[in-house]
Amino acid sequence: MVTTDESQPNRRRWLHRASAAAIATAVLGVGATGISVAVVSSKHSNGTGAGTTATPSSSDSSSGSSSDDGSSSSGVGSADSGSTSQGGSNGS
Amino acid sequence: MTASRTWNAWSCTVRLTVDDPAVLGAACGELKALMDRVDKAASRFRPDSELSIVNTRAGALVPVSRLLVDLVDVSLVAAQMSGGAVDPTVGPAVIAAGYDADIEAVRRRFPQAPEDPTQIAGWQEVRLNRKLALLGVPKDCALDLGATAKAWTADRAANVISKRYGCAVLVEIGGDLRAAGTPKKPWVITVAERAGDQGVLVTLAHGGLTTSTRTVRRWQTPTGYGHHVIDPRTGRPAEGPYRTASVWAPTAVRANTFSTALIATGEAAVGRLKLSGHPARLIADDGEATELCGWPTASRAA
Repeated sequence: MVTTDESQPNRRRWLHRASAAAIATAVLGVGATGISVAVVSSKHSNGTGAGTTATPSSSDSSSGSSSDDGSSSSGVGSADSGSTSQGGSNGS
Repeated sequence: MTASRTWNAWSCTVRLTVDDPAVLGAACGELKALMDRVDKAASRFRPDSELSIVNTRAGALVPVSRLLVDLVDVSLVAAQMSGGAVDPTVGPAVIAAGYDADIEAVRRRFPQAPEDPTQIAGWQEVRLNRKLALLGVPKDCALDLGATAKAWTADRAANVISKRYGCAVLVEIGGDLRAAGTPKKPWVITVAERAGDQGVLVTLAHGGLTTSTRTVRRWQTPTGYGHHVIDPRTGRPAEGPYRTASVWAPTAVRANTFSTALIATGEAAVGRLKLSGHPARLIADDGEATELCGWPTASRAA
Protein backbone atom coordinates (compact mmCIF):
# COMPACT_ATOMS: atom_id res chain seq x y z
CA MET A 1 0.00 0.00 0.00
CA VAL A 2 1.27 3.45 -0.98
CA THR A 3 0.92 6.25 1.47
CA THR A 4 1.69 9.93 1.19
CA ASP A 5 2.29 12.69 3.59
CA GLU A 6 -0.49 14.85 2.12
CA SER A 7 -3.33 15.58 4.39
CA GLN A 8 -6.89 14.69 3.42
CA PRO A 9 -8.04 18.35 2.78
CA ASN A 10 -5.07 18.98 0.49
CA ARG A 11 -5.82 15.87 -1.53
CA ARG A 12 -9.44 16.86 -1.84
CA ARG A 13 -8.43 20.37 -2.98
CA TRP A 14 -6.07 18.90 -5.62
CA LEU A 15 -8.76 16.58 -6.96
CA HIS A 16 -11.21 19.46 -7.08
CA ARG A 17 -8.80 21.63 -9.09
CA ALA A 18 -7.94 18.76 -11.45
CA SER A 19 -11.57 18.02 -12.19
CA ALA A 20 -12.29 21.71 -12.75
CA ALA A 21 -9.39 21.91 -15.21
CA ALA A 22 -10.65 18.81 -17.05
CA ILE A 23 -14.14 20.26 -17.42
CA ALA A 24 -12.74 23.59 -18.64
CA THR A 25 -10.58 21.79 -21.22
CA ALA A 26 -13.58 19.80 -22.47
CA VAL A 27 -15.79 22.87 -22.74
CA LEU A 28 -13.14 24.89 -24.56
CA GLY A 29 -12.39 21.95 -26.87
CA VAL A 30 -16.01 21.50 -27.85
CA GLY A 31 -16.35 25.24 -28.41
CA ALA A 32 -13.27 25.45 -30.60
CA THR A 33 -14.42 22.46 -32.64
CA GLY A 34 -17.77 24.14 -33.15
CA ILE A 35 -16.10 27.32 -34.33
CA SER A 36 -13.87 25.33 -36.71
CA VAL A 37 -16.86 23.49 -38.15
CA ALA A 38 -18.67 26.80 -38.62
CA VAL A 39 -15.70 28.34 -40.45
CA VAL A 40 -15.24 25.34 -42.72
CA SER A 41 -18.98 25.25 -43.45
CA SER A 42 -19.07 28.90 -44.41
CA LYS A 43 -16.09 28.38 -46.73
CA HIS A 44 -17.95 25.61 -48.56
CA SER A 45 -21.20 27.48 -48.90
CA ASN A 46 -22.03 29.07 -52.29
CA GLY A 47 -21.91 32.58 -51.00
CA THR A 48 -25.65 32.88 -50.69
CA GLY A 49 -25.71 31.03 -47.45
CA ALA A 50 -27.97 28.39 -48.92
CA GLY A 51 -25.22 25.83 -49.20
CA THR A 52 -26.87 24.21 -52.21
CA THR A 53 -25.02 22.10 -54.72
CA ALA A 54 -25.22 23.10 -58.36
CA THR A 55 -26.31 20.37 -60.75
CA PRO A 56 -25.74 20.42 -64.48
CA SER A 57 -28.67 21.13 -66.75
CA SER A 58 -29.99 18.41 -68.99
CA SER A 59 -28.26 19.89 -71.99
CA ASP A 60 -24.91 20.00 -70.22
CA SER A 61 -25.20 16.43 -69.10
CA SER A 62 -25.61 15.02 -72.57
CA SER A 63 -22.39 13.15 -73.11
CA GLY A 64 -20.43 14.14 -76.10
CA SER A 65 -22.47 17.21 -76.76
CA SER A 66 -20.82 20.43 -77.76
CA SER A 67 -18.96 21.69 -74.74
CA ASP A 68 -17.82 25.26 -74.30
CA ASP A 69 -14.34 26.57 -73.88
CA GLY A 70 -15.66 28.07 -70.69
CA SER A 71 -15.77 31.56 -72.14
CA SER A 72 -18.99 33.23 -73.13
CA SER A 73 -17.37 36.56 -74.04
CA SER A 74 -17.68 37.37 -77.69
CA GLY A 75 -15.10 35.57 -79.78
CA VAL A 76 -15.47 37.72 -82.88
CA GLY A 77 -13.67 40.97 -83.51
CA SER A 78 -12.58 43.33 -86.21
CA ALA A 79 -9.92 42.11 -88.59
CA ASP A 80 -6.92 44.35 -89.27
CA SER A 81 -6.70 45.72 -92.74
CA GLY A 82 -4.33 43.66 -94.82
CA SER A 83 -4.88 40.44 -92.86
CA THR A 84 -5.28 37.23 -94.85
CA SER A 85 -8.34 35.05 -94.41
CA GLN A 86 -7.62 31.66 -92.83
CA GLY A 87 -11.15 30.27 -93.03
CA GLY A 88 -14.65 30.99 -94.18
CA SER A 89 -18.12 30.86 -92.74
CA ASN A 90 -20.09 30.54 -95.93
CA GLY A 91 -23.79 29.99 -96.09
CA SER A 92 -24.99 26.40 -96.22
CA MET B 1 2.75 28.79 -88.42
CA THR B 2 -0.53 27.25 -89.53
CA ALA B 3 -1.30 24.35 -91.83
CA SER B 4 -4.60 23.63 -93.55
CA ARG B 5 -6.26 20.92 -95.61
CA THR B 6 -9.50 21.17 -97.60
CA TRP B 7 -11.75 18.49 -99.04
CA ASN B 8 -15.40 17.92 -99.96
CA ALA B 9 -17.84 15.86 -97.92
CA TRP B 10 -21.54 15.99 -97.08
CA SER B 11 -22.08 18.16 -100.20
CA CYS B 12 -20.01 20.96 -98.72
CA THR B 13 -16.45 22.12 -98.22
CA VAL B 14 -14.59 20.83 -95.19
CA ARG B 15 -11.44 22.58 -94.00
CA LEU B 16 -9.19 21.82 -91.05
CA THR B 17 -6.57 24.33 -89.91
CA VAL B 18 -4.10 23.80 -87.05
CA ASP B 19 -1.28 25.92 -85.67
CA ASP B 20 1.08 22.91 -85.52
CA PRO B 21 1.78 21.55 -89.02
CA ALA B 22 3.21 18.33 -87.57
CA VAL B 23 -0.21 17.15 -86.39
CA LEU B 24 -2.23 18.10 -89.48
CA GLY B 25 -2.29 14.59 -90.98
CA ALA B 26 -3.38 12.90 -87.78
CA ALA B 27 -5.92 15.64 -87.06
CA CYS B 28 -7.45 15.23 -90.52
CA GLY B 29 -7.72 11.50 -89.84
CA GLU B 30 -9.59 12.22 -86.62
CA LEU B 31 -12.03 14.55 -88.35
CA LYS B 32 -12.67 12.20 -91.27
CA ALA B 33 -13.23 9.27 -88.92
CA LEU B 34 -15.72 11.26 -86.85
CA MET B 35 -17.57 12.47 -89.94
CA ASP B 36 -17.77 8.89 -91.18
CA ARG B 37 -19.28 7.74 -87.89
CA VAL B 38 -21.78 10.61 -87.89
CA ASP B 39 -22.73 9.83 -91.50
CA LYS B 40 -23.40 6.18 -90.69
CA ALA B 41 -25.48 7.18 -87.67
CA ALA B 42 -27.45 10.20 -88.88
CA SER B 43 -27.47 10.51 -92.67
CA ARG B 44 -30.94 10.91 -94.13
CA PHE B 45 -29.69 9.80 -97.54
CA ARG B 46 -28.17 6.43 -96.54
CA PRO B 47 -30.75 3.66 -96.27
CA ASP B 48 -28.41 1.78 -93.95
CA SER B 49 -27.94 4.63 -91.49
CA GLU B 50 -29.40 4.30 -88.01
CA LEU B 51 -31.53 7.39 -88.58
CA SER B 52 -33.06 5.91 -91.75
CA ILE B 53 -33.94 2.75 -89.82
CA VAL B 54 -35.57 4.80 -87.05
CA ASN B 55 -37.54 6.82 -89.63
CA THR B 56 -38.60 3.65 -91.44
CA ARG B 57 -39.82 2.15 -88.15
CA ALA B 58 -41.71 5.27 -87.09
CA GLY B 59 -44.03 4.50 -84.22
CA ALA B 60 -41.66 2.04 -82.54
CA LEU B 61 -38.76 2.44 -80.13
CA VAL B 62 -35.55 1.40 -81.86
CA PRO B 63 -32.18 0.64 -80.20
CA VAL B 64 -29.55 3.07 -81.44
CA SER B 65 -25.91 3.88 -80.80
CA ARG B 66 -24.75 6.30 -78.14
CA LEU B 67 -23.58 8.59 -80.93
CA LEU B 68 -27.08 8.92 -82.38
CA VAL B 69 -28.46 9.48 -78.88
CA ASP B 70 -26.06 12.41 -78.53
CA LEU B 71 -26.96 13.82 -81.95
CA VAL B 72 -30.70 13.61 -81.32
CA ASP B 73 -30.24 14.98 -77.82
CA VAL B 74 -28.44 18.02 -79.23
CA SER B 75 -31.19 18.53 -81.83
CA LEU B 76 -33.84 18.49 -79.10
CA VAL B 77 -31.87 21.00 -77.01
CA ALA B 78 -31.64 23.21 -80.10
CA ALA B 79 -35.39 22.91 -80.62
CA GLN B 80 -36.05 23.89 -77.03
CA MET B 81 -33.54 26.75 -77.14
CA SER B 82 -35.07 28.16 -80.33
CA GLY B 83 -38.66 27.83 -79.18
CA GLY B 84 -39.30 25.18 -81.84
CA ALA B 85 -37.86 27.18 -84.76
CA VAL B 86 -35.14 24.55 -85.29
CA ASP B 87 -37.20 21.36 -85.16
CA PRO B 88 -35.71 17.95 -86.04
CA THR B 89 -39.15 16.57 -86.99
CA VAL B 90 -39.30 18.59 -90.21
CA GLY B 91 -38.10 15.54 -92.20
CA PRO B 92 -41.39 14.99 -94.12
CA ALA B 93 -41.62 18.74 -94.87
CA VAL B 94 -38.07 18.80 -96.28
CA ILE B 95 -38.93 15.83 -98.50
CA ALA B 96 -42.22 17.45 -99.56
CA ALA B 97 -40.26 20.57 -100.52
CA GLY B 98 -38.23 18.40 -102.91
CA TYR B 99 -35.05 17.76 -100.92
CA ASP B 100 -35.39 13.97 -100.87
CA ALA B 101 -31.92 12.99 -102.05
CA ASP B 102 -28.36 14.29 -102.11
CA ILE B 103 -28.47 17.95 -103.15
CA GLU B 104 -26.48 17.29 -106.36
CA ALA B 105 -29.02 14.66 -107.45
CA VAL B 106 -31.90 17.02 -106.67
CA ARG B 107 -30.30 19.76 -108.78
CA ARG B 108 -29.65 17.45 -111.75
CA ARG B 109 -33.18 16.13 -112.18
CA PHE B 110 -36.07 17.75 -114.04
CA PRO B 111 -37.70 20.50 -111.95
CA GLN B 112 -40.59 19.15 -109.90
CA ALA B 113 -43.36 21.04 -108.17
CA PRO B 114 -43.17 20.80 -104.37
CA GLU B 115 -45.82 18.69 -102.67
CA ASP B 116 -48.38 20.14 -100.30
CA PRO B 117 -46.92 21.09 -96.91
CA THR B 118 -47.11 18.43 -94.24
CA GLN B 119 -48.01 18.79 -90.60
CA ILE B 120 -44.93 18.99 -88.39
CA ALA B 121 -45.17 16.44 -85.58
CA GLY B 122 -43.15 18.63 -83.22
CA TRP B 123 -39.93 17.90 -81.35
CA GLN B 124 -41.84 17.21 -78.14
CA GLU B 125 -43.18 14.01 -79.71
CA VAL B 126 -39.72 12.46 -80.12
CA ARG B 127 -39.12 9.68 -77.62
CA LEU B 128 -35.49 9.39 -76.55
CA ASN B 129 -34.42 7.09 -73.74
CA ARG B 130 -30.87 8.20 -73.08
CA LYS B 131 -30.04 5.49 -70.55
CA LEU B 132 -31.26 2.58 -72.66
CA ALA B 133 -30.30 4.24 -75.99
CA LEU B 134 -33.78 3.87 -77.50
CA LEU B 135 -35.20 6.30 -80.05
CA GLY B 136 -38.71 6.57 -81.45
CA VAL B 137 -40.57 9.00 -83.66
CA PRO B 138 -44.35 9.21 -84.20
CA LYS B 139 -45.95 7.51 -87.21
CA ASP B 140 -45.72 9.55 -90.42
CA CYS B 141 -42.82 11.49 -88.92
CA ALA B 142 -39.14 11.49 -89.83
CA LEU B 143 -36.15 13.13 -88.21
CA ASP B 144 -33.80 15.40 -90.11
CA LEU B 145 -30.69 16.27 -88.12
CA GLY B 146 -29.14 18.33 -90.90
CA ALA B 147 -29.44 21.56 -88.94
CA THR B 148 -27.39 20.47 -85.93
CA ALA B 149 -25.31 17.43 -86.93
CA LYS B 150 -22.70 19.39 -88.89
CA ALA B 151 -22.25 21.93 -86.12
CA TRP B 152 -22.04 19.17 -83.49
CA THR B 153 -19.37 17.44 -85.54
CA ALA B 154 -17.37 20.68 -85.85
CA ASP B 155 -17.62 21.23 -82.10
CA ARG B 156 -16.69 17.69 -81.21
CA ALA B 157 -13.78 17.44 -83.66
CA ALA B 158 -12.30 20.80 -82.66
CA ASN B 159 -12.42 19.94 -78.95
CA VAL B 160 -10.98 16.44 -79.40
CA ILE B 161 -8.18 17.51 -81.75
CA SER B 162 -7.21 20.51 -79.64
CA LYS B 163 -7.00 18.47 -76.45
CA ARG B 164 -5.35 15.40 -77.98
CA TYR B 165 -2.63 17.27 -79.88
CA GLY B 166 -2.33 20.36 -77.71
CA CYS B 167 -2.82 22.80 -80.56
CA ALA B 168 -5.19 25.51 -81.68
CA VAL B 169 -7.60 24.22 -84.30
CA LEU B 170 -10.22 25.61 -86.65
CA VAL B 171 -12.78 23.17 -88.04
CA GLU B 172 -15.00 24.30 -90.89
CA ILE B 173 -17.84 22.14 -92.24
CA GLY B 174 -19.92 24.03 -94.74
CA GLY B 175 -20.96 27.23 -93.01
CA ASP B 176 -20.23 25.91 -89.51
CA LEU B 177 -16.92 26.92 -87.92
CA ARG B 178 -15.55 26.01 -84.54
CA ALA B 179 -12.30 27.27 -83.03
CA ALA B 180 -10.75 25.45 -80.06
CA GLY B 181 -7.46 25.80 -78.26
CA THR B 182 -5.59 29.05 -77.85
CA PRO B 183 -4.18 30.48 -81.08
CA LYS B 184 -1.35 33.03 -80.78
CA LYS B 185 -3.48 35.38 -82.85
CA PRO B 186 -7.21 35.08 -83.50
CA TRP B 187 -8.15 33.35 -86.73
CA VAL B 188 -9.13 35.65 -89.61
CA ILE B 189 -12.41 34.55 -91.15
CA THR B 190 -14.30 35.57 -94.26
CA VAL B 191 -18.05 35.61 -93.64
CA ALA B 192 -19.95 35.33 -96.91
CA GLU B 193 -23.32 34.18 -98.22
CA ARG B 194 -21.69 31.79 -100.67
CA ALA B 195 -18.16 30.42 -100.91
CA GLY B 196 -16.19 32.73 -103.17
CA ASP B 197 -18.63 35.62 -102.77
CA GLN B 198 -17.57 38.95 -101.43
CA GLY B 199 -17.92 38.87 -97.67
CA VAL B 200 -16.67 40.60 -94.55
CA LEU B 201 -13.52 39.86 -92.57
CA VAL B 202 -13.72 39.21 -88.85
CA THR B 203 -11.43 37.62 -86.29
CA LEU B 204 -12.42 34.50 -84.39
CA ALA B 205 -10.60 33.83 -81.11
CA HIS B 206 -12.75 31.00 -79.80
CA GLY B 207 -16.23 29.51 -80.07
CA GLY B 208 -18.49 28.85 -83.04
CA LEU B 209 -19.31 31.01 -86.04
CA THR B 210 -22.01 29.77 -88.41
CA THR B 211 -23.79 31.10 -91.45
CA SER B 212 -27.19 29.80 -92.57
CA THR B 213 -28.77 30.82 -95.84
CA ARG B 214 -31.49 29.85 -98.22
CA THR B 215 -29.43 30.97 -101.23
CA VAL B 216 -27.00 28.04 -101.47
CA ARG B 217 -28.66 24.68 -100.85
CA ARG B 218 -31.44 25.32 -103.36
CA TRP B 219 -32.80 23.81 -106.56
CA GLN B 220 -34.96 24.73 -109.52
CA THR B 221 -38.73 24.19 -109.36
CA PRO B 222 -41.38 25.07 -111.98
CA THR B 223 -42.19 28.22 -110.01
CA GLY B 224 -38.70 29.34 -109.03
CA TYR B 225 -36.13 28.10 -106.55
CA GLY B 226 -36.84 25.72 -103.71
CA HIS B 227 -34.70 25.55 -100.56
CA HIS B 228 -34.29 23.37 -97.51
CA VAL B 229 -34.89 25.67 -94.50
CA ILE B 230 -38.37 24.83 -93.25
CA ASP B 231 -40.55 27.11 -91.14
CA PRO B 232 -42.05 24.63 -88.64
CA ARG B 233 -45.08 26.88 -88.18
CA THR B 234 -46.19 26.36 -91.79
CA GLY B 235 -44.37 23.22 -92.90
CA ARG B 236 -43.20 25.14 -95.96
CA PRO B 237 -39.78 26.48 -96.96
CA ALA B 238 -39.20 29.67 -94.97
CA GLU B 239 -40.21 32.98 -96.50
CA GLY B 240 -38.99 35.31 -93.77
CA PRO B 241 -37.31 38.66 -94.24
CA TYR B 242 -33.76 37.34 -93.92
CA ARG B 243 -32.05 35.22 -96.55
CA THR B 244 -28.75 34.82 -94.69
CA ALA B 245 -27.75 34.95 -91.02
CA SER B 246 -24.30 34.69 -89.43
CA VAL B 247 -24.05 34.22 -85.66
CA TRP B 248 -21.23 33.83 -83.14
CA ALA B 249 -21.80 31.76 -79.96
CA PRO B 250 -19.62 29.77 -77.54
CA THR B 251 -20.28 26.63 -79.61
CA ALA B 252 -21.07 25.96 -83.24
CA VAL B 253 -24.27 24.13 -82.26
CA ARG B 254 -25.53 27.16 -80.39
CA ALA B 255 -24.52 29.55 -83.17
CA ASN B 256 -26.16 27.32 -85.78
CA THR B 257 -29.33 27.10 -83.73
CA PHE B 258 -29.70 30.87 -83.81
CA SER B 259 -28.61 31.33 -87.44
CA THR B 260 -31.03 28.62 -88.61
CA ALA B 261 -33.86 29.98 -86.45
CA LEU B 262 -33.38 33.45 -87.93
CA ILE B 263 -33.81 32.07 -91.46
CA ALA B 264 -36.68 29.74 -90.50
CA THR B 265 -38.84 32.14 -88.52
CA GLY B 266 -37.36 35.61 -89.21
CA GLU B 267 -38.34 38.32 -86.76
CA ALA B 268 -39.72 35.78 -84.29
CA ALA B 269 -36.14 34.62 -83.64
CA VAL B 270 -34.60 38.08 -83.32
CA GLY B 271 -35.97 38.52 -79.79
CA ARG B 272 -34.34 35.32 -78.58
CA LEU B 273 -31.08 36.32 -80.27
CA LYS B 274 -31.07 39.69 -78.52
CA LEU B 275 -31.77 38.02 -75.19
CA SER B 276 -28.82 35.69 -75.74
CA GLY B 277 -26.57 38.59 -76.68
CA HIS B 278 -24.77 36.66 -79.42
CA PRO B 279 -23.30 38.87 -82.16
CA ALA B 280 -25.07 38.40 -85.49
CA ARG B 281 -25.12 39.73 -89.02
CA LEU B 282 -28.36 39.42 -91.00
CA ILE B 283 -28.85 39.97 -94.72
CA ALA B 284 -32.38 40.79 -95.81
CA ASP B 285 -33.96 39.76 -99.09
CA ASP B 286 -33.00 43.08 -100.64
CA GLY B 287 -29.36 42.66 -99.60
CA GLU B 288 -29.42 45.09 -96.69
CA ALA B 289 -27.12 43.98 -93.86
CA THR B 290 -28.07 44.39 -90.19
CA GLU B 291 -25.50 43.87 -87.45
CA LEU B 292 -26.71 43.04 -83.94
CA CYS B 293 -25.45 42.41 -80.40
CA GLY B 294 -21.90 43.61 -80.86
CA TRP B 295 -21.06 42.21 -84.27
CA PRO B 296 -17.78 43.96 -85.12
CA THR B 297 -18.87 47.06 -86.99
CA ALA B 298 -15.45 47.59 -88.42
CA SER B 299 -15.60 44.27 -90.28
CA ARG B 300 -14.47 45.12 -93.77
CA ALA B 301 -15.33 43.70 -97.14
CA ALA B 302 -13.11 40.80 -98.17
